[in-house]
Amino acid sequence: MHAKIFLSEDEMPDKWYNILPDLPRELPPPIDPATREPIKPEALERIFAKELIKQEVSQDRWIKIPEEVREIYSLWRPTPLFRARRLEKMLRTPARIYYKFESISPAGSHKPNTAVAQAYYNLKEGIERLTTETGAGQWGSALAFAGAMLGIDVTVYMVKCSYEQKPFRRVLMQLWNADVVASPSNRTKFGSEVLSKDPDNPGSLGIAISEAIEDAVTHENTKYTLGSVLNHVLIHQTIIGLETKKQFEAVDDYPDLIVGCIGGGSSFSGLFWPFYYDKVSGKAPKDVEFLATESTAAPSVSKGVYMYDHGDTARLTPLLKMHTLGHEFVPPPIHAGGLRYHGMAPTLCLLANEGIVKVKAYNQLEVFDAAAMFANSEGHLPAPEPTHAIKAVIDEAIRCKETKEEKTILFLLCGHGHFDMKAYQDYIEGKLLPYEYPEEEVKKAQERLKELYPWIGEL
Amino acid sequence: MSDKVEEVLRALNAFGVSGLEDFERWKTKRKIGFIVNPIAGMGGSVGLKGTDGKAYKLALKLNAKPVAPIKALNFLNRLKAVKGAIELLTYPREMGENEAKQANLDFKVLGSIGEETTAEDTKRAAKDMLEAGVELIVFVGGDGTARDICEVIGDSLPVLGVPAGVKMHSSVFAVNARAAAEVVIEFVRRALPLELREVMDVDEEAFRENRLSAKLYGFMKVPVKSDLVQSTKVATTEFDNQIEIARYVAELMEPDVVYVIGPGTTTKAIADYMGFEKTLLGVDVVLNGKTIVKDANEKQILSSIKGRKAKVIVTPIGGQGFIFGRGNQQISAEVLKILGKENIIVVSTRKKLAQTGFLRVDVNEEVDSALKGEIEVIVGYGQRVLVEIR
Repeated sequence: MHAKIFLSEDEMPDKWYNILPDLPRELPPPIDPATREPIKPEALERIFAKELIKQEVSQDRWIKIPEEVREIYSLWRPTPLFRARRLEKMLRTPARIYYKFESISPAGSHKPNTAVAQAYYNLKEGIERLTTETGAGQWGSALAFAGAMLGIDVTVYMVKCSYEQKPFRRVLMQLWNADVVASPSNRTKFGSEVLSKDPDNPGSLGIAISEAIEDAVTHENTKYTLGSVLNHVLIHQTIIGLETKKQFEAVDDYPDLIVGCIGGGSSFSGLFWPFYYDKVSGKAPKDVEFLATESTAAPSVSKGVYMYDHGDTARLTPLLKMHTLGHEFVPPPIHAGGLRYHGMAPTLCLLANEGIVKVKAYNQLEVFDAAAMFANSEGHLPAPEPTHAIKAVIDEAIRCKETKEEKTILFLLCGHGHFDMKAYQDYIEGKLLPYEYPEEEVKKAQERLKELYPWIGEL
Repeated sequence: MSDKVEEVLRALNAFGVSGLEDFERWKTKRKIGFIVNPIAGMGGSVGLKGTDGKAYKLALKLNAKPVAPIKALNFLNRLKAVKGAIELLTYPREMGENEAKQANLDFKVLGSIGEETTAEDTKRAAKDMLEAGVELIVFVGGDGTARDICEVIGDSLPVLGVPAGVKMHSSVFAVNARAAAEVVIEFVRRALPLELREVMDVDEEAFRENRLSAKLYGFMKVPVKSDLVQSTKVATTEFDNQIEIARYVAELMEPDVVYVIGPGTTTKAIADYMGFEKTLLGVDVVLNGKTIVKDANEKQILSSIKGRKAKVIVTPIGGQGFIFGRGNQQISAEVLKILGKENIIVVSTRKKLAQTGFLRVDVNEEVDSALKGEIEVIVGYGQRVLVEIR
């Protein structure tokens, strides 16, 4: 009766899994609205390492994890798989609940899995400095950590209001020798332009992205990095699911249901892709289900429509087939900032549309209730994002109690909540609001989209 | 350089990575339409219900002071924080040009106007601004102004009102000029959520005869930032609640009626809102939007109301519920006998009323028993509740 299932360092997988060759259909390409022709990822070559671009479009099912990357991974990997016996007991459920625990990485989340890999490939290609943006600091601290381990400089453009109001992740990044810049800044032409027009601008993720990209394209041996959405990022995260599979083998069990939360889609993809491979290759002992959870404040996949969305209100940008609430949709501020991201991994959108991945949305009040229950049974404090998965798991476990199903449920605890105490404080003080996005608004936004591009349905 | 950054942002944007929108946002100045209805709000302080049509002439005759220009300037002065990022498109002279000049913002004047401004000028201004490609129209005025703009713009463009009118039933207004500026600054900085909000107006003629008939005229798309844009819903803070009450009482006040106004922050808020003087702790007498006796004693009150139509406005003492006989003894038994129960207007914030749930009087036996029973209490904009006097 163990609470944790460990793997030895030697058992750490040596290949990542790539889903592209196993998709049920080919990914719809990004479309240029002017020509209605697919666009090519060449522009991305300017800012990403060659090897990463190669992985982005690779049709290879297995990609070797470089030894140097595995060596750094070994600082915290393989991560344990927990059996949530105390939660099961609290719920009196016959279901077996497991969670894969990514909180123990030095940066406190799954993000270093790709940060280390990206830093490594850049270093190998002679890149001396990496730039990126960060909101509250999750991704920035993962990259700062990777930079410190591999000896590559990291510049993080941090949204100014977070830089000032949430200093702890900033300090963590600085401790890992990252150059953390409050954005908008005078470091870039674009940032200076913003400041000249609006000296008190509190910053935004968009401004920080623009600054990080300008910095990368205007300096020698400097590249940009992104922490989610892109396929190469998702590939690096598959180490999570590959380890989990081995851990299940060790206890002779296999999940019936796999749950995770989705913002850009990287952590959940990292967990479920290897099980998806089992399923499509006929190796799965059971018919496993995949459930993605999101916030009712930004329910893009559960409430949105799978269609070509234009990237901005100016209507100049490529169209990508994804689930969308329409671009006029502005999500309300919620504590699970990672789930407010507009972008979503195209593969996840496709799989959700095919019905292979189910999606459910929860409001932030009910997920914090679930988080409190989890913290009081298992002890660990989840980040606000995975609390959505926990809510789904608890609901399912309660259902199993009624139906007496001995179901095996797996979820991903992708990060800890030690930097999110303000969210927990608001929860305890009763200040959280259960935001729901009105469906009527979604419909209206999509109708407007169809008016703009009457030919969208033909694609 | 800029081209390269844009090219990359475009490619990333295809994946939902949202840098491009902000990048484009700061490349050019943002065009914002600015319309002032210079006569809006003038009727309020002289007890008129608006300045639509012929009421304006009456307001002038009653020596009403312009309200909108001050609110307009107050709003523009606060926009200076993002001076470099905006260009105002406005209309000549008192319809916006004057204030834009005073606030020293970049602006361009469209169209032309005659000696006196009319609703037609407002409509033409909105149309010109729409055609000139503004991203947002900000107007300074009341329900009538909102209606005129709604007629031309509908929900085709975001619109925000700076409250300066007498009537403001529509939910397209920011709470005040400062809040309006904050919303516009946010609008400049990021994509604010837009909500369809009601444009309402009352028939002024009917309203002057105290018949309230608010009508829905349409919807406009309003940028919304948390609590700064007032909805038709309940106000959240004591202060907001008082403003809400003041807006409503301002509409109820009639010309040539003497108002005896009791002490308290809620009644003071009415005076502040309407722009007449009022002591916080005393009883003041007001006629046609002007304070005629400050801190009046019983004798002064009696001589002011003698032979005239008069009403009294009071608010209960928090936690006790007294509306007469505590802290306002100047409003004596004799005063109340002359006025009668039908001329008593009670106002209270919802919170204060909830503390007791009933009201009390302690004047003398005769008056107390005459007042017993239920009375209407104004607790918000257009909101009255029946409360028992014990």
